[in-house]
Amino acid sequence: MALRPTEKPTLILVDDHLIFQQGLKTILTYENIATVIGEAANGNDFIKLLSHLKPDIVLMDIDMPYMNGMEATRKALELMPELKIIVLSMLGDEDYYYKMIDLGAKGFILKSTGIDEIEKAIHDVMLGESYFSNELLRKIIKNFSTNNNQIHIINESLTDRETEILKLICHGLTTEEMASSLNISPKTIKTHRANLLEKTGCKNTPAMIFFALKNKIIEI
Amino acid sequence: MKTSIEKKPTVILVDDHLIFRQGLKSLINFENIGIVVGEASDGKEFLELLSVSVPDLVIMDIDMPNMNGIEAAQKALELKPGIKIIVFSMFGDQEYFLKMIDLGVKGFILKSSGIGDLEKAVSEVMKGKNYFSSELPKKTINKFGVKNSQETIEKPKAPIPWW
Repeated sequence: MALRPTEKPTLILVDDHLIFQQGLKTILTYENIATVIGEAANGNDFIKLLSHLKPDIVLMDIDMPYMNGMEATRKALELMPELKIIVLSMLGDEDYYYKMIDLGAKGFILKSTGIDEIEKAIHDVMLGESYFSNELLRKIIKNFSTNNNQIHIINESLTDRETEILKLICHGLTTEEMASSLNISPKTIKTHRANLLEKTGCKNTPAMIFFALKNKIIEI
Repeated sequence: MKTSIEKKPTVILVDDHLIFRQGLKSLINFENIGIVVGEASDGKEFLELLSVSVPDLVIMDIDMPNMNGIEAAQKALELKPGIKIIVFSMFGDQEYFLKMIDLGVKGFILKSSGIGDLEKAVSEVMKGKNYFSSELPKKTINKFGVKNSQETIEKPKAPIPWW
């Protein structure tokens, strides 16, 4: 089990399948992962909840009636830019990944993964990082390589060190792994990562991976 | 919460979403509805499980990779004709309902309904009855009712509507 912050994060579940919501709530509570303070069956209900609830985390489905997860994410982040949204998606939702990432979702997990991964995602996201399941990144990259042939101009302002770190990020290394591999402190890695986000204009890790692919910093 | 079932039924869960299974398993245990004795992520895995042990009840998704719920139900009912299967379905799955009823599936629940509905379904099906979510469209419910009457009443002159 991943290390948890000392205080359990508060969380809202957004999914149109009540039985899924109830099951997930039971597990999150039973495993002491988070305190579920609200539940919504669609984006509309969720946005209404935000008028009186301030959760740390939102676990959000994509395909829902009335207002889907993308629209809900966009509206929620307008209202609360710091809100940490983790998307729970099904296989076949690949088309939405980039859109959700672009909107500023902090995490993306497939429903085919288990509670351990949700726990890890919540943990990482609470630390201010993003979390995207490896299975998902593989699919994104696979889709990207078959669908995208645009060539973008490389951003010359990246330093050698930043380029090096970007490559390691693309290889899926964690902050700690990069720190030990490059023999520098995790704090320095975080600074580089922040600079990379700033320079590339990306909101999160997958967006940076796209950037690296587009600019041929990494090859598939 | 449970009053009607004296002995908790053994259950196999079949769904390709691990997190859904884990949640459902917690709920089933927590609410004292049944004992989850096996889990499978698709129809093939389920049939393998079935060759080892037969549960009182199967709770199964329709849309799964490798082998979907329809084929799995058909094969399971060929292998173990008395097996009680409750199908969990999504709103768009309505086209499959009649097919599943024909195959001999005992219950249908929408994923948009809650654990209370599942609890009722388990209770009814364990008593030998059929169960379907009240949220299912009328048309489907009517046909479900008709199918039941044909099975339980010998050669009715005309299908007897449930109302």
